[in-house]
Amino acid sequence: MSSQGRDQRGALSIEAALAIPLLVFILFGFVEFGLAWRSSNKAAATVRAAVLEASRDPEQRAVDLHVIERIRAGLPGGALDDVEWLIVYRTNDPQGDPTAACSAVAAAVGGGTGGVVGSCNVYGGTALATLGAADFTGADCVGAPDEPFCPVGRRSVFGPGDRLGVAVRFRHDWITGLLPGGGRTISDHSVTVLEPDPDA
Amino acid sequence: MPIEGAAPDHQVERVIGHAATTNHHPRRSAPRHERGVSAVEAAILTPLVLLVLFGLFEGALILHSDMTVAEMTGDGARTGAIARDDADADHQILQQIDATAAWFDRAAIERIVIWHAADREASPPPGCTSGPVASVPALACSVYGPAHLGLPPGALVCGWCPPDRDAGELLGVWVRFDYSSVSSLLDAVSIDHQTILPIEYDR
Repeated sequence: MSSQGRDQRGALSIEAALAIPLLVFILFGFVEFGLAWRSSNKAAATVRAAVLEASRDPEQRAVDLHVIERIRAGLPGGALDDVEWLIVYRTNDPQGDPTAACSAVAAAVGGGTGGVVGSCNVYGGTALATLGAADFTGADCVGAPDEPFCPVGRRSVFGPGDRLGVAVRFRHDWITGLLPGGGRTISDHSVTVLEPDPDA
Repeated sequence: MPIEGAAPDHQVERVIGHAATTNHHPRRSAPRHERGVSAVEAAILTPLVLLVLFGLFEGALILHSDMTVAEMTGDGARTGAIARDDADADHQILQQIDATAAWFDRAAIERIVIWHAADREASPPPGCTSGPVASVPALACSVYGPAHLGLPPGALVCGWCPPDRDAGELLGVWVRFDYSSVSSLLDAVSIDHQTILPIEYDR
């Protein structure tokens, strides 16, 4: 190093001082991107598993609980604390999105539950984490969290072209704290037609 | 300079060699006290680069194994859900797992548990995932190892047997795979996954 001219000494350390933060930032960016992608993939697989099961026996009394259990078992560890909402819904939308009315209920649900009669049940984060078999009782769903879109007789509200959907939104937190916003919101949904009635 | 035009390579080398000799620096023009710096740098960097390279290689193989084990349980559980109460249901599940495992070393598929899950968030009972590779009827789990993969249906001893499997009950398939490091950088990594599916109706 000392062979360099006097005016060049220290150039390397200045270059390193500029380049290292940039390299570390890029490296952390790779890690963050990979983890966010992983969360997003898990969410896609989870809503798909959930809707397949819900379509298989859609009039079972506890079918929404089965969807909730799938979501709880499938979402990546930390994400469960950051679920904003879960929607079990009926839709005629070609893209399979929940109806505007259901999305509006979801936006306001907080930690509780809600829904649109004959169209959807919405479960907020706290409800999703705590609901159990004892909550999904009563032959007509009265007073239960799935009262608006009761599974009992659910097939009868499905018209031609209607599909059953499961949508979830949760927050994925950055782990390095270098990226802005603290995290990112991941939403996904999956729809499918109802399976034939085994008793029909 | 004679290197203008189409000079043959040996001529170019000779000319450069000659120029270098007259310069009293046989290899390069670095001052005497800097000679060998690149060799030292290479000595430091080569192990690091190799470590990173092997790390990437190892990481990719572990990820691949992880995904394949997940797929093995998914395919196995799906097969079990469709096989319902067929007498050879466990054999069908093992065959499917064997097919999905593709080029995996069979001996590394350490344990396969087929169990009656209580709910969709359940894990197999510890008594099924540890101890000898043998089915535990008291815990409603069939436990198999690599030696069972090629056996005929009649040779399998079930713990949760097909006649007890009813539509709507939850069938879980759990697999543990021992990934052994190719670069010897890591100890063996144990990978396990599970899939729980409801047994289908006889439609």
